[in-house]
Order: sequence, then structure tokens, then C-alpha cells
Amino acid sequence: MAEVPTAYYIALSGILFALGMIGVLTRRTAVMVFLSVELMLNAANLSLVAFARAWGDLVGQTAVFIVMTLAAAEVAIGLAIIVAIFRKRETTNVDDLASLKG
Amino acid sequence: MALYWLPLLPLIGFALLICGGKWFSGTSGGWLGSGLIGAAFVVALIRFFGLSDVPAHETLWTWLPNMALGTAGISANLKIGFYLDQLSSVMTLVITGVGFLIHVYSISYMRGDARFTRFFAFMNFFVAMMLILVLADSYPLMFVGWEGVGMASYLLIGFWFAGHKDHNAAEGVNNSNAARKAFIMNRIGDLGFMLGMFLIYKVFGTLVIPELAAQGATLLVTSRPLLELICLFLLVGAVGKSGQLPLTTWLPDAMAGPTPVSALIHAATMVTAGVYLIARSNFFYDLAPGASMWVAWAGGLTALYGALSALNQTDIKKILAYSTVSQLGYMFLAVGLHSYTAAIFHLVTHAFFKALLFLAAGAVIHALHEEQDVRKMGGLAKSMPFTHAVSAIGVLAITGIPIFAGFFSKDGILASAFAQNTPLYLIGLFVALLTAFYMGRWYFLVWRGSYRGDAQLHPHDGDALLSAPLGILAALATIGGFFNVPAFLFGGTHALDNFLGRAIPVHEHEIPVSTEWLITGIAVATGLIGLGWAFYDHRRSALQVGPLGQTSLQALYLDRFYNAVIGGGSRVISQGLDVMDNGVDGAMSGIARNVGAPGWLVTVWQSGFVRVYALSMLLGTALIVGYWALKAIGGGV
Repeated sequence: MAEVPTAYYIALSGILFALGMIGVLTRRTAVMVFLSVELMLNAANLSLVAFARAWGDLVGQTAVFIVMTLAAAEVAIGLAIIVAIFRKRETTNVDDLASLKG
Repeated sequence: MALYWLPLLPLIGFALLICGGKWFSGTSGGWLGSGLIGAAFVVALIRFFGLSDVPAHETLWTWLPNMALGTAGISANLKIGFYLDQLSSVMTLVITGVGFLIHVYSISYMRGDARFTRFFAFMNFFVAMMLILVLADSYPLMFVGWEGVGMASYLLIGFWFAGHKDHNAAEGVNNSNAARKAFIMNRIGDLGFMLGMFLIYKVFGTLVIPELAAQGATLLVTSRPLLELICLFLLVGAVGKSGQLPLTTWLPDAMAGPTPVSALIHAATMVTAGVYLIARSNFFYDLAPGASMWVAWAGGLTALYGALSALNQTDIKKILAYSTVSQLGYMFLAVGLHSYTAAIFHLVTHAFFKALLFLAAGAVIHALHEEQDVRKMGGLAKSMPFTHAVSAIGVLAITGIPIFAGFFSKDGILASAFAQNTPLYLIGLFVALLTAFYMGRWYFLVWRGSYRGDAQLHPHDGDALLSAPLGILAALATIGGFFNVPAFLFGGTHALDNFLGRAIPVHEHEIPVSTEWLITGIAVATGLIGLGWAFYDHRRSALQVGPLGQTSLQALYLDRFYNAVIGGGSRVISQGLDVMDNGVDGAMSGIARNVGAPGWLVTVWQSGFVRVYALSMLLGTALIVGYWALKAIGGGV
């Protein structure tokens, strides 16, 4: 079985990251923005794993575990914040949440 | 009775009337205030008869402990202490006695005023402070009373700050301005008083008057310029309080207050505080001939200024006000010539006859429903016979017609001026002539001729409350001179001189009896000529005003002069400062705006839209990554 070149993984990672970026910039619902951020995180994870395999050591994979842990924590807190905002404001549209405007 | 009862009784009245004004309905507050002053008068009488050659000195408590220094057995602790000798005893009698009469008069005069009780609170406060002033054993305590009477004067001049009766706003502003003017001009004098105190403390290490007086030997070795300077500083204070030149213009304006206030504060008592201060500090002035000459000339010139300004006034109270300025000038003339007893004697008789004249003027104003213009009076002798009689006595007393009080006291001052300083004597004599003229004019315009005012009014004498004080003061103005009959007349005994001489030095001037007769004769003749001139001029209401008369009416343009020179000068300075201030302010505002502008650019970025922030992050990341990427591929950045 031929090896899939690392560049393919990096390309996929870049596409996923770009998709996530577009999602963050275009979506207005906080939940969708959040989802896109997760996508970007996983794109980064993918590239880390690919590099780890290419170099043949486990440092990259370790880093991925840390990122996944962080992402889990982030989801817990982030969703809690979104729920709190919704209870207070009856909306999760990020454009309406502009009270820190300078 | 301890001395502290003297100021304490009026202070109790003040506290009750100011805190519990609502408890006193009708005239009860006035009766309480008057009663307490009467009680204080009784205390003053008791202490007067209990006086011995050793002055009473009672300390209450330590006021300013550890006031440093404390050399040579001088107590450095400043205490609240009261000091009663012959001089302060006479003053307490005048203050409480005349004060009591004026309080009683005010019950009738102020009846119906919306702030009747408040008026008596202020009056009681004034009497308390005046008593502290004369009883103080140290300069700082005297200064407390000094400032206290100044404040009472301010409150009472501006008593009708909303206008009187018909609530005329313009009149109210006028009254408030007069009060402010008095207060501010007094501040100038107070500065002098304070500088004098500082210097005394620096040189002698104490401010207690009897201790200073006892330092005779030390005083003698003190350098002359220092003593002269102390005396000049104290003179500035005295000039401010007593309305002498050049700080005189507030006193005529002070007539904006109710008439009893003018009688009590701006004629009989407060304005004589300057004379009292100098008489009290006689141990300094006796050693400072230069400063004493300044005192005498300030007095002489003020006497002349006041008399010239009084000649053509049209306000019944303004005539008396300028006359007060002029008579205070006589007193300064006397203290400047070290004739302290003559000055105090004139102070006492002046308190009698000037209070009398003011109260009589008040009765007239009352009867004519607030009319103060003498051009709209005349012929009132028929409708107000009693007030006319007492006014006539007052006029005779101030003119110096024999047997009336002013004759003796003015004669004493003129005699001492004759013995020491001929120019001042001539000024004094000329002022006596002018005094007779303007008082005669006052008398003829108000009481003689025919009535020129509103025919609707039917003036009549006041009620018993208004008349009784007038009667008593008239009696005092008639016989008050006999307290101090000079030796060459009726075998007089100089009773007051001898009495005061136990506390303050009497500098006898040896004048031959024949010369004394001559001086007296000239003075009386001057008075009669003045009265005759007034009779001739004003029997048929000579009211036309020429250029000279206009000068007199404008009080020699002194007010305008101050307004132009000092007021104008400070206006120019303040305009200059304003321009400068605008420049500095403008520069600062410009800098602030220019700093703010870039800040504004950044603020716009802080739009509050999360997606804008995310985009910013992306761009930022792209920039950083791009930089490193270019660097890595050797773009040569």
C-alpha cells in the first residue's frame, strides 16, 4: 500500500482550516461560529498528526491530545456562556452582542 | 458677677433667637433680646461701681497652649481672658446702655418685619462680640470680637437683602452690595491688624495687653522703627473698622441697613472700635510719635472729608453717616495727639447724640413711610413735636452749643489740638463750622419750613416704645458733658479724665485759663455762625445744587476715584489674565484634541462586531505568518 504523501494531509488540513475560517467570518449564530472554531482546531490537529508521522516521533501526537483536552474544556465553557447569553438576551446572534463597542 | 456674664448674656439671647426663632411669636423675641442686653447693662453697672485701681483680670481657659517662646516669665499660653479697667468699663457701659435703648426702640421700629426675631438675634450677637472686643485681655481675643462685629455689621447692613417691605429686587441688590462693600473694605484693615499682631508677637513674645503694658522698660529699648511699624499696622486696622480715610467709603453705604443698626453699629459702638484699639494700645503709641502723627492726620483729614461730604447730601441718614465719619475723625485726631481721654469722652457723648439723631431720623422715616429724602420733608416740627424736640437737642449737642454734651467733648479735642498742632487745630475749627452748617441744614430741611412731601401722609410721633429711648438719649445728650467739666468752667473737676486716668495716661497740656476761654469762645462762635449760615441758607429750602454742591453730594468723588483707579486697574489686570488664560486653555484643548484624534481612529475599529475581531485576528495571523514564510524562503525582508 503506497504511502499517502504528507503534503496531502497538509492540504486537507489547510482546506478544513479555511472552511472553518469562512464559517467563523460568515456565520452569525454563536453556535455555528463555535462549530467552525472546532473545525479549525481539528484542522490543526490533523496537520500535527501528519507531521508526527512524517518525522516518526510522538511529540506531535502528544500535542494533539493536549489540544483535544483543551477543546473539550473550551466547549464546556463556551456552550455554557452561549446558554447564559441566550437566557439573558434571547438571542445568540453575535452581531447583536456589541455592548463592548468602543 | 463674673466678667464673662457680659458677653454671655447676649450670646444666650443670640443662641435662643437664632435656633428657636419659631418659639417666639409676635414681639416676644425682641423683648427677650432687649431684656438680656438690659441684664448685661446691670452687670456692667455692678462691675463699674466695683472698680478699684487694680484692674480686674479674669481668665476662663487656655485657648492656645504652648504658643512657643515663653521667655522672661511671660506666659506663652494664650488664654481666653477678660480685662476690665476704667477704659473698658466705660466702653461696656456705653455698649450695653445705648445698646439696650436701641434694642427697645427696635421692638417698635421693626414690628411687623418678616424676620423680626432674626433681627434681634443678629443685634444680640453684635453686642456680645462688641463686649468681647472691649473686654479682651489679648490682641487675638480682641480680634475675635473685631471680626465678630464685622460679621454682625455685614449681616445687618444686608438685613433687607431682598428689598424692604415691597420686596424691590433692585433695592435688595443695593443692600447686599453695601454689606459686601463693608465686609471687603474691613478685610483690608484686618490685614493690618493681623500684621500688627504678628509683629508684636515676634518682638515681645506675648500678645496679652496688660503684660505688654507692663513691659515699659523693654518697650523703651525696642528699636523705634519697629514700634512705629507696629503702630502703623494697628492704625490700618483701626482705619478700616472706623471708616477713616482712605477706607472710609463703606460707612456711608452701610446706611442701607435698618436705622437702629445705623444708630448702634455705624454710629455709637462698632465704628469707635478703632479709637478704642488705639487708646488701648496707648503704651505703644506714646512711644511712636511718627505713627501717632499719622493717626492724627488721618483723623483730621477724615473729619474734613466727612464734613465736606455731608454738606449737600439729600438722604436724611446719609447726612448723619458723613457726620459720623467726620466725628470719628475728631476722635482719631485726639488719640493721635495722645489725648486719649478726650477721644473717649467724645466717643461717649457722640454715642449719645448720634444714636439720638439716628433714632430720630428713624422715627421720621417711619412716620413718612420709608421716605428718606430731605427734599420731601420739611415742617415736621408741627406734626411730630416730641421727635422735633429731641432732634433739636441732638443738633445742639453735635454743634457744640454750651451745656450740651458735644460742647464739652469737642472743646477738649480742640484744646488739645490747639496746644500741640496748629494746622490740625485750624482744620478742627473749620470742621466745627461745617458741622454746624450741615446739621443746621439737616434740622431746617426736616423740621422747619413747609412740608414738601406726599400730602397723603399724616406724620405723627412714634409710640411710647419708640419715644422713650429718644427721651433718655436726649437727656444724656444734654447732661452727658457734665461727666467731664474742664477745670476753668464752673470749677469743673475733669471727672472722666481722672477716672480714665487711672487706666490710661492723661497728658496734660498747660494752657492759660484765658486762652482756654478764648478757644471755647471761638468754638462756640463757630458753631453759632454755622447754624446761622444754615438758617439763612435753608430757611426757605435752598435746594438748588451747583457744581460745588455736586462735588459734596458725590462725597468728593472718592467712590468714583476708587472705582476708576482700583476697580479699573484690577479690571484691566483681570482682562489681561483672562486673555492669557484663554491662550493657555486653548493650547491645552488643542493638544487634547490632537491626542484624541488618532485615538478615535482606533476606537472605530473596536466596533463590537465579533466577526470584525475575528477578521482582524486572521489578517494579523496572515501578516505574521507571511512575514516568517517570506523570510524562510529567503524573500529578503
